Amino acid sequence: MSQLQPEGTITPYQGYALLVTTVIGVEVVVFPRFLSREAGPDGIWIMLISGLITTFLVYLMTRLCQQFPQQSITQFVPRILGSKHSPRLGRLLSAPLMLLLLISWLGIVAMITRSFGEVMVSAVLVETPIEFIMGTLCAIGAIVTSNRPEILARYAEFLLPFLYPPILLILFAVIQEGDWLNLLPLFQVNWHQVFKGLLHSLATFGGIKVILIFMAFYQQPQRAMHSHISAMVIIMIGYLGTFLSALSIFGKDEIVHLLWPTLEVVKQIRIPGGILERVESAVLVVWMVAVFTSITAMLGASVQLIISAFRLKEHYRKWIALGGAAIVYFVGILPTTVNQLLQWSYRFGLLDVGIALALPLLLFGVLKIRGGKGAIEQDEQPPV
Amino acid sequence: MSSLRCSISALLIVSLLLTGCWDRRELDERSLITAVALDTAPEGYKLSFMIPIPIKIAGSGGGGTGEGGQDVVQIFSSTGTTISEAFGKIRREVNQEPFFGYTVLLLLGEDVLQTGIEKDLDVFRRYPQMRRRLIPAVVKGRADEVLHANPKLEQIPSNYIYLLLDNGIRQGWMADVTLGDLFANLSDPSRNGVVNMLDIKNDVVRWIGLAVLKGDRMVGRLSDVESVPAIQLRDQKAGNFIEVPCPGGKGSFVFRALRVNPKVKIDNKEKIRIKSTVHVIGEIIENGCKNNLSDQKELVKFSSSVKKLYEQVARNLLHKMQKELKSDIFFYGERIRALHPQLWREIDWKTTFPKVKVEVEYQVEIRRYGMESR
Repeated sequence: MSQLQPEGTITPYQGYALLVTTVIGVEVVVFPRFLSREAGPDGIWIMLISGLITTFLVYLMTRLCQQFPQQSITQFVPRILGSKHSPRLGRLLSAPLMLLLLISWLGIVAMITRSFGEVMVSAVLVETPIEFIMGTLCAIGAIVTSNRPEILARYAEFLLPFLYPPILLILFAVIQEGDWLNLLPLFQVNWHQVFKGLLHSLATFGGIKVILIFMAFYQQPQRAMHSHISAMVIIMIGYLGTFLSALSIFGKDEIVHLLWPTLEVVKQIRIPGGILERVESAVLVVWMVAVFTSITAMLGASVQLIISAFRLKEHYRKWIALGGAAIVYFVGILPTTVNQLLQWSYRFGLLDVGIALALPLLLFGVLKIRGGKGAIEQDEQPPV
Repeated sequence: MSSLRCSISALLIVSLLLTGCWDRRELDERSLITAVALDTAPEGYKLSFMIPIPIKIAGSGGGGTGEGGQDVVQIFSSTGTTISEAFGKIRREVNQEPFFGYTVLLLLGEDVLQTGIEKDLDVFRRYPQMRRRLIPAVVKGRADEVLHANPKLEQIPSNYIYLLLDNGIRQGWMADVTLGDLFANLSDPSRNGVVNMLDIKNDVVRWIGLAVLKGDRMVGRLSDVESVPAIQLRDQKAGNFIEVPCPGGKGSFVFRALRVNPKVKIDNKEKIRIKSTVHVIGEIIENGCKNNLSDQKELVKFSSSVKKLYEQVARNLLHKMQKELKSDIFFYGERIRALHPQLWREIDWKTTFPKVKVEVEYQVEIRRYGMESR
């Protein structure tokens, strides 16, 4: 059935870049506070565990897509759920799943857009209307996502290197200001705290399931596992580094006072000799890149989902992108306060990771019950 | 395609006209506040800002290069029941929007600290332009008096005071406290903060020691001599040099610590016992004794005199902190929280600290004695 799709062109490195830039995004500036509030220094290993969990989810999804190379999720899910005799049933059963995917992506993108606007307005551009910042993001997001997924992957590949330098800067801040006593004591939390901490750290991995869409365009899906796992490792290192630096610099009691802890970490940096002052503006630019790549990847995934679900022609893409961006904008301005926004972001993040867990499990389960490869093998069998 | 090109060029032209950048403010459209002073007033607070006059700063090309001190700055003060109210009043007097991005100094009047500063610092936490790296200092008496001082070495007076503090911190004899550290010390129940203290007399601003906080209140003061072991135990910095009586004779010599490495051992068998072992490496910078320093035996005697003095000062300091001020500025509580979490849960450190046994032992090594050979 791979003839329906053109051969993919996304290289393994682009797949890696796509996953890293999608997952790392707006939550980097805020999650140390939640994690520290729920679990204190124990957030360190809780972060590690949730990283392992999400890596496992990425493994599952990659395996799933590898079984249906060059097929998009809208093609193989009906195949798994339905049967040869009633393809309609499969499509019907898969419709709610697709809708859920769509909702979670658009919701997450909306929250990302709004959070970005909030950080900008509260910390830097105090006078600028948030509607303007969000509107610009959505408009440019729509322009970028009017392109095919391969272009989005190239875009991620191009922007990925910009994400690395801040890691060095954060390391610098730790050396200057960090206190290792703030990272202790470990293993003091009860199960309830571990659970809540896990939920909060899992929510930061929202976006991993874009691979369900993009893997259909991979050049060599069989090599995807390596690039996906290494992407997850890099993301984990980035998150752990962020958390460790914020924790060692501020301590668990001070972090909870800070609305955007990571931003404050960056503000602490003082380059010796005063060559560069206020490096946070440079880091904010990089962070904006990270945020924007998350937006384009998830919005692009939504657009592609709609296109392939309804088998639409290519020229509809820009209108769908525009419509998606409009939805994102209007959902994004819904939360009235920062508190509500953060709560919604958390829920959408969890929803995303939850789907990333449920979907592959469900599909693998059905595959197993139906023996082997579901409808795909039945397809290849000669009709009885 | 041509319609697309048309619309793009139309967009570009429109965007040229609509240069609506809300936050665009050029440097000359801002009033750069270099120092903030906060005092109490009958209504609540008295807030003072120092704003340099750009045209009078050397190198600005304005012409007035020979001036300095109070001639190149303007000081604005106002009072209010909240800090923001006072700020709002000052804003009515300043021709451009006040900008805190270059604020390097926050001067707090002694009386502000005595009533508790958590609520006063709230506005400084909230304001996004405020930098956590700016240096806070407590002023004995009123903080705005320091803004009115007229030092001659620097063009802008606040810069002079900032450099005074910055130099002391870098040389390791003032406490390394930034606004961010102060915030962190206030929110962490296992720590107590200190703030460098300034005094102004006859138009001279000088450092006079440390203000000791307990929670968010100032409970006492450490003199410059008491600050030496405090900074050594707390910040692992050298502290100022110290005058030591000669071993077995009249007169005294001056010892300067170069490197200080305190090790803390917390023992919890029946009672909590804390033992700090401070390893100090330093040099003699002035010798008013008759002893010959080129004699190794004499040098050993000198180092034991230094050790004795250090231990005595530290013991007095600990006694003061435990019995009088009841404030743990040495991060002992933090160590217990981090390294003995079980114990930390069982005790209330605020009430326990005055009762625990704290010992301090110094190990002093005199490495050299300057350019003089004996």
